[in-house]
Amino acid sequence: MEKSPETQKALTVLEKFTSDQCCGKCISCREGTRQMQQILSDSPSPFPSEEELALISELGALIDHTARCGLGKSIARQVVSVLEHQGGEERVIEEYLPGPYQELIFFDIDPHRCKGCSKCARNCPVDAISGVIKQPFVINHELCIKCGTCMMNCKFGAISIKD
Amino acid sequence: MGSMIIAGIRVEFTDENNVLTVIRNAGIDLPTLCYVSELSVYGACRLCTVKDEEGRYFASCTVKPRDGMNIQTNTPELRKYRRTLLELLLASHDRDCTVCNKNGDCHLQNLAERMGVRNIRFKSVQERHEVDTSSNCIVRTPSKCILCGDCVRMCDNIQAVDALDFAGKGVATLVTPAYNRRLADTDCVGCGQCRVVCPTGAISIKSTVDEVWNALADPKNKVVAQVAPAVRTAIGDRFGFPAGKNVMNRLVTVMHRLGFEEVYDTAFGADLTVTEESRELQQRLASGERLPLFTSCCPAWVRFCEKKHPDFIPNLSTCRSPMQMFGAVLRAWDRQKPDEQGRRLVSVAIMPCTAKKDEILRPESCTHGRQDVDFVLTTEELIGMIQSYGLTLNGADKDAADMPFGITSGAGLIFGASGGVTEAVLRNFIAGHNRQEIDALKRVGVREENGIREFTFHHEGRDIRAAVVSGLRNADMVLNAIREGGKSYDFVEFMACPGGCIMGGGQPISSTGSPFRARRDSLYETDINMQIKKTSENPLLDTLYATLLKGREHELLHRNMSGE
Repeated sequence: MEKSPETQKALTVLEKFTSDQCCGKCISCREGTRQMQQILSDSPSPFPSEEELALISELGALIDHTARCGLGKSIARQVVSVLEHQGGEERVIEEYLPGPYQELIFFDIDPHRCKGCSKCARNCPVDAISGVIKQPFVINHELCIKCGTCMMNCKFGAISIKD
Repeated sequence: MGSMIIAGIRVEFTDENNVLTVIRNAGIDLPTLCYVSELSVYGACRLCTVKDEEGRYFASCTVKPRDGMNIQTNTPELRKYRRTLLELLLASHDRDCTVCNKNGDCHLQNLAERMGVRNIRFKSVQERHEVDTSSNCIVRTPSKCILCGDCVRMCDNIQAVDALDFAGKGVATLVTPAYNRRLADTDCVGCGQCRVVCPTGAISIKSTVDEVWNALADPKNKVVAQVAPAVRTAIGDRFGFPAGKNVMNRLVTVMHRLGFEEVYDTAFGADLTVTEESRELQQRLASGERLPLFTSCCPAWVRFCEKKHPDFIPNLSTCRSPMQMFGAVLRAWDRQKPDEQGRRLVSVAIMPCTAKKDEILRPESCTHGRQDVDFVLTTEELIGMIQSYGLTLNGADKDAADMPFGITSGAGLIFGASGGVTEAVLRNFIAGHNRQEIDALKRVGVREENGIREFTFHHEGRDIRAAVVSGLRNADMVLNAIREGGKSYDFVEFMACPGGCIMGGGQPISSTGSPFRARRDSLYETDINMQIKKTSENPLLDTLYATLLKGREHELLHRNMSGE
């Protein structure tokens, strides 16, 4: 059965993550993403049923709240977000795959778009973002692990990938 | 120092290492699979995740307590997460629980029960891996491994052996020896401490129970057994006795019923060891050669020394271990007075130790091409035998160990606790039966609890500098200090397992706190009730040295460590 573009997208992300990027240390991320992938590929329809989606969302919340690092969390959020917007609805996050080409890219905050809300800084797993409220924030590229959490959290589209 | 609110109750804390400890001290036993307080923190199982006042989730084992924290431990969400985590683990786990060696005793199984996991919503994705039976001591079953890393950290943090580590990543992660070697081809010393911390059946004792049952059933055999001091203070755990209770007398009765014709006390072997080792120490002190003298009772320690510090092999005592001395004497006794019915002597040793299973197979543990001791059963295996026969220790009559090796000294008995060998040897340095001096010996530092303890003993105008070391990481540090000249001793006792044989790799594992103190105190308590305190006062030894052992001390009681 051919998968919907969203499902296929989520599967691609998961396949890449489980085969190449996951370190395998914590249970929630290692086993959670493996089962997300399993549910999607076992699903008989182009996109997951309501129950399947509920289970994936539950795994997403589990990983988001209990995984050790930002990488696993960002993957889980991305998958859930993509799937929850099946059927052509506007996708809330930009396309981002942390992976082997990380050294070629960097994240940047557009000072004109940034409202200085601090949400990116609060969600950064390595505290690489700093700034003063209501003024543009700045990413410290020395500390940044390029997990994409800031970009997914920004409500104003101020953060983008540069290369 | 400070206070925090845990599940609505204010709790004071002082120097706890992490929030998890504070929570547990407050009476909430948060589940964990990868947290062992003696080991470094790993944070893999995520079961101890809690929520703070700002709605942040974190694993409580990895966060230091801060004043003013407000922690929730049991929100509906957290409960759901814990259950889902267990479901996820079980989905990738070999769930043949009914035939697992850990059935009924498995930490994962217990937690699944405690958290109310009744249904696994995920597809079973378990992978089959080959079982590694290459070691003489332990068996690794990787398909039951949950990757908590407890064994890896035990082998490194506490034992400094580093035989196991993680390999691969993601879902392909495995705990395995380097280069996927078999355990037998690594530096593994067989101490079994990995098995002690393993929450599942992934690491288990290599059992010889079936072989012993077969030997017992064969009328051509006369099966006798020796029981190590540490066994009697631990085996009662599984039969409802209070921790540390010495149940030797009941055990003798039950073992007779299992079919062991004679049940001897390894403490007698320990008496022989103390006698020989005291002599050896006196000789080496007089000649000044090959000092410090290292004890050689612990086979895991001997292997460790051979594999990691071969330059110290000459320092090892040439004495066999108590089990091997006893085994050799039994065999020689049997050769001198063969069984009237022409039966073959099968010698079994009941030990707290997995490494002993390897020791009996060493070339120097054989005489005339036959093993001195045929089988080693760990305490856990004997418990299994007793239970499968349908017996129990509770109602059993009491009986004394069999003669002619039934008379033992208190010195031989305290071998089971770390420091016991040293104390026993030093007792022989005391002239006569001087109660005050024997009592004073308890207070020189030999009975402290730390893993490395040093003290000085005055004897005939000179100071004997002794050290008692348990845990191989500690041994590693002491050996390096001696080599670099930072430390200088005359006598060092080494035990591989932290706390000594009572905490051996083949002992029952307690689910309620460490049984160390209870077991140790029980041995010292038994020693108090022994009339014979010093091995040199054991009348049986005099008889034996005058008869069977006459002129054969070296052949039966010593070994060639240097391979001459």
